[in-house]
Amino acid sequence: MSPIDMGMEGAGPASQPPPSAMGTRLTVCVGGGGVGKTTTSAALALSLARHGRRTLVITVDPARRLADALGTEVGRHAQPVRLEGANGCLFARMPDSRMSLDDFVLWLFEDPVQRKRVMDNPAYRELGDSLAGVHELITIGLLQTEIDSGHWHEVVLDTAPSRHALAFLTYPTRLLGLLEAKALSWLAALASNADPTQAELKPKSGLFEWGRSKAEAIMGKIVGLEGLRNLSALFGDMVSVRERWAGLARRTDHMLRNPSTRYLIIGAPTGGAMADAGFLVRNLSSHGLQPSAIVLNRAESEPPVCEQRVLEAVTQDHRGLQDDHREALVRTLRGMQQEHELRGDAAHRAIEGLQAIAPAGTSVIRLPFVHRSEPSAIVIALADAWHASGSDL
Amino acid sequence: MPLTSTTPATNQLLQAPVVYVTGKGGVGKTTVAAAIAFDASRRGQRAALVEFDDGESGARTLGDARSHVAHIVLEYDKALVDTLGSVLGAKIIARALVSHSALKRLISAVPALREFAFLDRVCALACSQRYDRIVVDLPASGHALDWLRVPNAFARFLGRSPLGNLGRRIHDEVVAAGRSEVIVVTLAEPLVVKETEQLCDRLRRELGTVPALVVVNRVMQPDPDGAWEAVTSLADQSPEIADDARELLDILRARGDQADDTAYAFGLARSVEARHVVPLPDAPHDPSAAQVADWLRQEVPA
Repeated sequence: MSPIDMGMEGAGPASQPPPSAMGTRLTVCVGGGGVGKTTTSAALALSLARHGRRTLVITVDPARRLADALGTEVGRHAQPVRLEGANGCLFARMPDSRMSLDDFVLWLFEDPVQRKRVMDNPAYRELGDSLAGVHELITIGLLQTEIDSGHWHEVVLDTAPSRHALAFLTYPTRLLGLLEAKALSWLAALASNADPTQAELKPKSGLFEWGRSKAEAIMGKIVGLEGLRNLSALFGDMVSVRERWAGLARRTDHMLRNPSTRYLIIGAPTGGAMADAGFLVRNLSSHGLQPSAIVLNRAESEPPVCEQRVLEAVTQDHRGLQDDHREALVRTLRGMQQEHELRGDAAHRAIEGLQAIAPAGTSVIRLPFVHRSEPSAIVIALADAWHASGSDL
Repeated sequence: MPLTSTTPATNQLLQAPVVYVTGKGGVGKTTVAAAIAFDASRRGQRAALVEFDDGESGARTLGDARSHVAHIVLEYDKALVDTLGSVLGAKIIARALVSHSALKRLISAVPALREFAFLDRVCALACSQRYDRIVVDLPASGHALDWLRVPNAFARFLGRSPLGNLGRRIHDEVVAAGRSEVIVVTLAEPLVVKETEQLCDRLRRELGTVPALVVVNRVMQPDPDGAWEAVTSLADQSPEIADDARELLDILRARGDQADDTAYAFGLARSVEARHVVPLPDAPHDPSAAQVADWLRQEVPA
């Protein structure tokens, strides 16, 4: 039985009718490293939950940052998140990568004999974690299940902090292409020669214009006979569940191209982040998609009013303060003012750059630098700021 | 910038010929890698900065330092042909294999082949004797350990086959202790430090090493003493300034927390027994490799 199921303990009343009547909306958050993407995704999810939408935030990021930010735990089920204003509408899902790989194999292979063969295969044991895109595939499987469940009004997906975050979207389709390649059937056939229980995978005639023996010889030379046998067995097993991949590929594509699915690019005013944002805009465009908005972090338009007012108050009048304390305060406030100015300049440059690369009319949402170190406090402050910006969630 | 006169091969900061710089995205990893390479060149060493796929960030950070440091960008298709070519004894066969449309997709699905090919190219660079110091900027989204364990994993999984033997050789040349070192870049932020902690833990468990250097980046200067007292005093005064003062206190407190976070990062680095721990200041603009190299010099005795 697939462990991809959900616990709904702690679910509060949503102020809107159940999703099956309205459909589940997916928001995919992408962005380079170091822009505050995880906390921003969480802030968006909190804002949606505050509006009474039953919201799930999922992260592909295996480093537990989201769990820490939300004060929740890694788990196999959606965990309730108790943050200010969430009112039982906010949940988080954070896959643990090793456990999830095995879960994914459980989902993929229903036959227990086949499952055991896969899990005992040295290729799987040694290198399963490194199988190209495996973490991403796990997340897609998870994402698909949650959306299909009909429990959620909103699903917010926090992707890996990389400009290649969108690559995972195409994995099922690419893997499907791989699984349908002639070469793979040939490789699977090698396995069937070795293993009588796989007799149904006998090669078709005229399969491979190279000459099977020549290609076998070369592959055998590179990886050795044992390695060839193990790889063949693994691929053979994957080919046999081809239909499951095909189904996953179709549904993923449908989910990602759904008109209600939206893509948010998260950035910050640094050279690296802006280069990544540009790359992501072009990447989205190559898939025929465009961002619904760009969120620029650490980009407040105005410094906090209190700083200016206190500075004015103590420069006009000593207010009974000790001289050295007063001087220290003035130096501090002037330093903070300069930080704001520098950030403001950087934000201004970033926005100009964004306007040049983003499709016309893409809105830019500016969120402030948050003066908090506690991650959950940052999430709350960003959610408040998002609300204050007046932009449409 | 004039090079200094040749110094002995081992300098205080680094001892191994291959240095892997790791850290999550956005911490300034590429900048530190470029700075380390530039600093090596200033000490008279032949230095290379190695990046994968897209050399844009390295080029941007190196800036003018590019004339002193060999900037090597490894691209996957070429790396794969080079690696398979060395195993098969002929690049022509390798090229044919890789360009065959059906086999190409198959090859691209082989687990960890990408990491393997790239590390094989690093191994080739090391064996070429062209460089005294090879600084490898590992991809941010990857996990350093997932890279560094690949050659041995191939060796175990593929036994005495040519690729398996190559895996063993790569491990011995550019991963094993004494041949390589790891530099971890982190920020003084709790979430980032936690991730760094996990990385160092895995380094110790899986490779039996500790980081040669932990760089705590973007450390803010603490606010001058007395500011806090001044604001507290204002908060006790008449209402028109008291509310603003209290809000300002929250901000100052958060800024003070960052000093605690820096201390936490340093504590972590000490607990994992990194050879050196270095703070780098927060800069208003993205600093260049040369600027960061100067900061490193100030922090670590020459």
